[in-house]
Amino acid sequence: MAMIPGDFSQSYERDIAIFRTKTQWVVMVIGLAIMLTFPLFMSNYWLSLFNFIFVTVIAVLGLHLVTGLCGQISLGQSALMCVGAYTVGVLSVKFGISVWACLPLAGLVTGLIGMIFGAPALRVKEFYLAMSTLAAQFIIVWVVSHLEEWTGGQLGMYVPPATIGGFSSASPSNLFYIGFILTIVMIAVAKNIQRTRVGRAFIAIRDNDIAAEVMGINLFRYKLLAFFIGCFFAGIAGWMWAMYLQNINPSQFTLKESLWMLGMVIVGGMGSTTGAVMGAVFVRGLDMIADYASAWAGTVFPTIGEQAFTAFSLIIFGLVIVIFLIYEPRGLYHRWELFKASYRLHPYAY
Amino acid sequence: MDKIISLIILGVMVGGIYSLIALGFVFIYKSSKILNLAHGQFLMFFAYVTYTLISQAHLPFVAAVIIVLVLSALVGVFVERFTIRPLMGQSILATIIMTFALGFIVEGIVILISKGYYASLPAFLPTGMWKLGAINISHQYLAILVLTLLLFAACMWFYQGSRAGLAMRAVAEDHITTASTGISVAQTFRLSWVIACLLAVISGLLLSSLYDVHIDLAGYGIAKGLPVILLGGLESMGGALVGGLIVGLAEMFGAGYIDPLVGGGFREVVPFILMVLILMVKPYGIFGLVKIERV
Repeated sequence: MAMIPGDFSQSYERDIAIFRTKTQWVVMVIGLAIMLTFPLFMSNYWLSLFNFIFVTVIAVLGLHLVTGLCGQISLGQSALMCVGAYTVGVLSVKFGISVWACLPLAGLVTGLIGMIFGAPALRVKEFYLAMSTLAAQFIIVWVVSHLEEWTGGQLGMYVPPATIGGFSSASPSNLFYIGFILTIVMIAVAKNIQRTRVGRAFIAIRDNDIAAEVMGINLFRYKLLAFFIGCFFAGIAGWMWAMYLQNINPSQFTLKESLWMLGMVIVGGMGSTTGAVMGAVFVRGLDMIADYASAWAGTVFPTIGEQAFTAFSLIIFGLVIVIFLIYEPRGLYHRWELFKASYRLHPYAY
Repeated sequence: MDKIISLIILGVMVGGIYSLIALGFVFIYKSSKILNLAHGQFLMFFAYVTYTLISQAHLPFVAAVIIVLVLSALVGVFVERFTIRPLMGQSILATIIMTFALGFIVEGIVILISKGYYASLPAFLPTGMWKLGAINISHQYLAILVLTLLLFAACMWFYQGSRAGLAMRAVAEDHITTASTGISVAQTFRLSWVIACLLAVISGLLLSSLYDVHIDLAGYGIAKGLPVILLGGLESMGGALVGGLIVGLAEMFGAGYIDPLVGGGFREVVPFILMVLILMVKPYGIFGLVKIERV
């Protein structure tokens, strides 16, 4: 490792660099290359699990920008994903627009709708804002399920897969490539928003919005911008969701899902892109544990029924959140940093 | 005309139920500035435990209720000590997520035990109807409305007239100042959670006399309780009462006049539409305390 004790960053550029050493570059490139080979040997079950994780990571990144960085609590992320997914569905099925062209459109439309529900952020803070985004969750899903001639109502609608030539996103392995590239791009975007002027303004607003305003940050602009960007990510995640399931339905976008995303931000560690990704992967991993636990419980106590999975995933997730909030409110990312530091510094204390 | 009058009566009755749900939220918020978003789940949980005691252990109704009340006080102490107190000093997001997580756990436990079946408690309120022309007044709803008003009166008296209530109001204002006047902040917190859990039992029982005991009952906490308290103002008991009536009336009129136009189900979003409107126009609710920030 090049970053030995006593080797300090001597320029600002080096300090904020994403990859500080050549080793990190090499490890990153090798890691990504290995991930790209997954479709060659993995079963469809694992590939669709990865696709699901990609959707979650993108949506959680958006939430990380709004809540983790800018401090505006949003409880409606999954409803905004719903907007993104239905934008793709309606535009491609009813208007015949290419599914690829829908990708940025889904982001834009969702961003604009998110701004409407983020608008109360200009007058209210904290708890009250959380409630307005909670209302967004219910209102959006209700509207989508009642615009029947456009969205098919409760029955949902079919979304065509994205195709180029013979390449179609309908198979999990092809979707894996799309999702993989999309996720890497979105992580890069999120990370770079965080490192620039906008990201610093968000952090200032989170830490103390009055102080931020005094420093010359336009609260009105930046809060709306935070909602726009966060919901843009949700829209992209919605596009990916529509590609992932092909059949979208308002009942897929529940309040529970929104809260889980918020939980992922907390478990991962507020205010860090890596943390958001870690949280998303970790909580989806917990879902798998719940899956196994309920299968096991089904064999041990045959009376437990098929509701066991729902129950176990709720209990496990709830307990994890409670434990994290009490014992490690700074999340997995903080633990990872501590681990890295101790590894780097090893025989010395600091 | 008959339609309007019966809608008003129904709205007031339903509104009373919503106020009842909202009461538990307001109680905790007033004394600790924490919104217990798991209130709906607690309410459902206690109703379900009562049902289990009656149907499995064959206890008489009154005995079951007494056991559940004791149990709920223990749950209140436990929840306060192990999940809420460690969060003191953390951001508001932490408490929001914490109470949601508690709700998830409780919901998971109930699903595991009940396997998602519907259960119903034996009727303990008077059933029957008064008919005034085309207008029906159900005794059950009326009894709930009266009980709700009594509960509200008791809670208002508690805050205004009793020492413990006064201590709670002081704790909500400032922990350090309160502690220096000799009031135990921890004890006051514990008491307010115990009372909130007792309220959850009472509202859970009253609600389950109208609806089946099921996981859906938990959804009422968020879907009805939150809009009501936002409308009335988070710190105001009277606000919860008025807010409940407004939401109830708006729902009934929405169901009566707008449902035919949009094809049903409008009732469910009315509270949220009201919520967004009030947040835009008068963010701190009708009777809420307006927070003034000066630089």
